[in-house]
Amino acid sequence: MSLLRIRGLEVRYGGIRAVKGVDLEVAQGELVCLIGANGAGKSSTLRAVAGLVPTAAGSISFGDREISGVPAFRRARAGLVMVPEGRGIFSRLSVEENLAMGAYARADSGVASDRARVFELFPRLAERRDQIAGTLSGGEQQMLAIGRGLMSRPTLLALDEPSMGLAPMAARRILEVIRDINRAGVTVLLVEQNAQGALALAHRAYVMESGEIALSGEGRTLLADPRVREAYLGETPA
Amino acid sequence: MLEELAGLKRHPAAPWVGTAAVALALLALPFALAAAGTTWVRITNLAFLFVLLSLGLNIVVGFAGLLDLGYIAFYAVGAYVYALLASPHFGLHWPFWAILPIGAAVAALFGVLIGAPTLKLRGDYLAIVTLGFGEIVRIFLNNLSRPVNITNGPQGIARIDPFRIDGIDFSKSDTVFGLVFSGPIKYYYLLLVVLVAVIFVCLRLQNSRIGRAWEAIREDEIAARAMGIDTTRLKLLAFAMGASFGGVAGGMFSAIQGFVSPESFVLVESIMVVSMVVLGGMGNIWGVILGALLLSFVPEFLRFTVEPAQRQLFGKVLIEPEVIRMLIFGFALVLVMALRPGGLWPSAVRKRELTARDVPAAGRTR
Amino acid sequence: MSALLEAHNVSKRFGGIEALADVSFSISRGQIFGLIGPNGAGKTTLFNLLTGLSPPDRGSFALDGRSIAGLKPDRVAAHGIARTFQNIRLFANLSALENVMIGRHVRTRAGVLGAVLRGAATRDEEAGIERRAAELLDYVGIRSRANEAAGNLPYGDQRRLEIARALATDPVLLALDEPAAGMNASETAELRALLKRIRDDGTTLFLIEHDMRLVMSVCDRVLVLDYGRRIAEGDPAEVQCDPKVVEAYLGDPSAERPQ
Repeated sequence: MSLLRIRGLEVRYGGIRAVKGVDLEVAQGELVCLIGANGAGKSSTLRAVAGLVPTAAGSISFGDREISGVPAFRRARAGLVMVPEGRGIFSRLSVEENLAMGAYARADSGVASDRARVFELFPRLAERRDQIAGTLSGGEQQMLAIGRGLMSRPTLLALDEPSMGLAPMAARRILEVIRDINRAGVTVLLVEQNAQGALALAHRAYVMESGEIALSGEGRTLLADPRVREAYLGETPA
Repeated sequence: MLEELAGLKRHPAAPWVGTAAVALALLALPFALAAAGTTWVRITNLAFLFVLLSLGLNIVVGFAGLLDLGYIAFYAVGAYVYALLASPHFGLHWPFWAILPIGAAVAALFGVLIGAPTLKLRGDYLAIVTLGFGEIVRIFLNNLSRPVNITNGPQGIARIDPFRIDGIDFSKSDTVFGLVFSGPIKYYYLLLVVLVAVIFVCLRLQNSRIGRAWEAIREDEIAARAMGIDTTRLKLLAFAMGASFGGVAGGMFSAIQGFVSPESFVLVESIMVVSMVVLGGMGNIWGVILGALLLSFVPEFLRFTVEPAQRQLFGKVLIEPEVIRMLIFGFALVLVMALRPGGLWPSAVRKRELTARDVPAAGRTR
Repeated sequence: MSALLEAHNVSKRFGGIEALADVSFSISRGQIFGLIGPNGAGKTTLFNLLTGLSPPDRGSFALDGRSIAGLKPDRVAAHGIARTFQNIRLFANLSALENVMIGRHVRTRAGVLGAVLRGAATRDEEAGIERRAAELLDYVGIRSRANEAAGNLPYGDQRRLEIARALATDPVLLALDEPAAGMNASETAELRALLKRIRDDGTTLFLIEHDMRLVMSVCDRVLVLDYGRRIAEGDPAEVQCDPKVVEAYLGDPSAERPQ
């Protein structure tokens, strides 16, 4: 069952068309990733999905609702939660306060147990619960950003380059965590530069180039595709 | 026909003809205004003083990016230095061409004194501290009448000498070649000369190593330091230069008005100058001039039309001109910020800043 | 090869956290010296201490035998250490050319008087600044973007612009903080070539990086930090096999392959 459907999406910045007509679909429970070079339009696509940039053309539907005109905060409340590029944590608040902000729109009683689960997922954050977020390392901040996203009880979690700037081991760990979150029932749309790591996890993937979808298919298939291997996995052709 | 005119614009002599036309208009203006009444020449002189102030503040706010909300303090310092050295108060009557440089230097010193404690502050905090200092200067001037009477307190200093040079007295009228050069008209020409000099200095500064260093500080102070820019010295330099323009304007204000008191240097005047800079186009010298001229002239025009209009419509004045002036400022600010946040004539850099897409710190994606 | 930069027992605490503890190392002239380690290991903190952004609690750095302790960032740059930033700190609203011209500030002299009077000396200096800036844009390969706003450049070009700006200060030591972050394979290859060219042209490089392929192919020597302490140092091949490094940072390489 399709949770997120994008048809003919166009995003413009001033005169520049960053996204030129993209069709994309994420089914319930899937982990779909979007890879491509810098400037290909992956981040712009994700930000349009989250409502952070306006849609110049095309439609986005979430569940059975058309959401292209819906403001970002309403999309988050409806379960479409974004973890932005560069983490976007509140650097002057503590770890605990950041997580609390994730649950801002929730009035139910599950908040405390959700926080406990985030700390289970990220024991390093538990150790540092009172620490000011701006003093955490890059990897810890990324974990915090994901944890905060989880606090909103997302149906779909959209992540923009979570492994960027992380040490190899931390990057691998973050991707593993994302896989675990997906296995626990959260649908995931993942934009990644680290094509190797992302394709290994994904059920399905799309490759973007110059604002359009160039390739799509199952994660494994794309990982073995020679075009992908050459362009994105840095392998020289045989 | 329009195409021909457009073609003329591209003619190599066009900028010179344009400049000559503007220059002639400016030279002839005071006589045209005088025909409508000497008041208009006085209003123009005051407008020119505000242009001078705006250009000075533009160095601090527009070039270096330091939000100074207490700028009027330097105007006050310049005004009082002149008043103290050219009035019956201390019995000193030094010539204006000696006092103005002193006024500029003293104002620059105050610029450094006010700037130094603010060096580590950013944004809001810098604004608040400079606002505080502006007020402190005014209150000082108000209170420095005891135990030794330096500034004569709230009564201010009166009978300040007008400018005099070579037998030309700026407070009297002289007739030359059949043209009547009234006091205000003489001040007009002097102000014009000073403005041209100041504009020249600002343009040169903007396009120089120092100007670039200020831009760097404004854009990213940490990166600027990492590139070897002594941000401390350059910020103080911005404060000092901006303040010195205020000092010169203050000296001229003293002479033109013949009287100074702390009342002329209240907080709202600082806000007024900031408004002129921001509304006109922060960072763009021509925008700033436009802002200052508009915000000086428009309220006066309105006063001359709205008062009689009110009398005609309602038989009396319902809204005082001063109130109208304030209403206009507020309204103009709101309108410009909503429709053209870069100002009426934004600098290229500011335009980029405001149309920059919401891209994250790493500056990625198109 | 003589020591260009020496660090002696550099230590720094932030609140309760020990960001760096007794870190010592030495970089020789003409080397490309790599600094690797997990996030939070103290790498960027080390750069910040080196360039004078904050003072070490203990220990010091010496450049060419002379201590640079207590110097502010602008003095450090004047002495010949230039840097780039992990999160790219360009003057976003200024053009690429202007960014690099600002890099020349520390090696030029014109002051207020020079600016206003614009005598022959100042005019020559300004022409020289613009010329050198254009050369540097050419050197890093982004000459065609000279008049574009720095913030509008594609990511890879922004990183190169930051390097050009740092080179404009005529440094003896260039400290690069994750220059390859976010770059794809071909961009990284170009960066590798650029780094080698910079070194061959006489500037010593000090490099923080996570991209192990780049580190292996370009660095002469690598220092590994973890939790603020040095856990290994040596040539890249040695360091990559060091079990302490594998445990703390590289992890099991077999995990990289697809399932």
